[in-house]
Amino acid sequence: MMGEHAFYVWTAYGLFFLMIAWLVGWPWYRIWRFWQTKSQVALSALPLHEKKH
Amino acid sequence: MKNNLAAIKRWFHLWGAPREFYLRSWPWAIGLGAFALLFIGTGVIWGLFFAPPDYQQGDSSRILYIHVPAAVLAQSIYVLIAAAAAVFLIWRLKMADVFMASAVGIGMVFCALALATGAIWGRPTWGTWWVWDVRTTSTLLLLFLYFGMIALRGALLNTQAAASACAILALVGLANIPVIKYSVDWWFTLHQSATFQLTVAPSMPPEMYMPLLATSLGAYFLFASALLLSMRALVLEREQQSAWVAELAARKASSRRTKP
Repeated sequence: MMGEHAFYVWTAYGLFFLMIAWLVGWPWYRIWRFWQTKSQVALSALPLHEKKH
Repeated sequence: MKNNLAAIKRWFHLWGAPREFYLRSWPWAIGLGAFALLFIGTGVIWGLFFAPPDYQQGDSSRILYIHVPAAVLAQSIYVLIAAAAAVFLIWRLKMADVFMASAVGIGMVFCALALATGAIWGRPTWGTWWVWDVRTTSTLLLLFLYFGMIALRGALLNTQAAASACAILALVGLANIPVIKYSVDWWFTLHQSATFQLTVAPSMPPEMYMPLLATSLGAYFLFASALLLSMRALVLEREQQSAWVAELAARKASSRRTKP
């Protein structure tokens, strides 16, 4: 699609793809960050002999 | 009939419990996301490369394949938020508030996209980025309602009070939806009338109508998937002190520990 209004069309579609990335990526990141923090805390709460390092 | 009602009630109770919701929603989020990818991918490729340009608007008409779904979703999400608000105010269901809080952000993004793509389409078609037309102005008001709900939730520290305030705002703002929907019929506006009508055959040819239908369905699937993901994140953040979250965290930590 390289017609007369290519700039307008690609700008609009660019925004659309950014929106999809944001809608899916942000909650995904929040869940990942939550479990990263939680499992770090749970790991640090384990007795010393159960830890690998 | 009685059995059906009992089954619906059981289903609501099951999905209304944060732990059950978290454990059961994952395959649904992935499945709905796959459908979204399929429908949006098909619609976008079709709309950009295979659909014919409009005889008057030229290639800028291709923007409508994303503008229309964004605008439809911005309104549909608001109606769903208002329904969840009513459920929350009547039954005080915890998950109804989680639904509201998660859907507001998604609705806001769809509404902002509808306004932005409308402006981008308007520049080559109407010769201006913006007009104070009833349809565009009432959609801008919808965006402000979304902003308002987000700001209200952020301003109140008490979660219950914030949820109630947002629910009331959502119900009051519902009056704006028929204004957006019927503004093109009630007033003389620059904005064109409805693209989709359930009772009337489409005025567009199928090669233009089908990609629009595909992106619209895809947008609904995208919303459902993003909503489930967002609700999962919020459930975790709100329930972080619960025993089931601690149990899941311990399980994850132990699986990390046993990894080589």
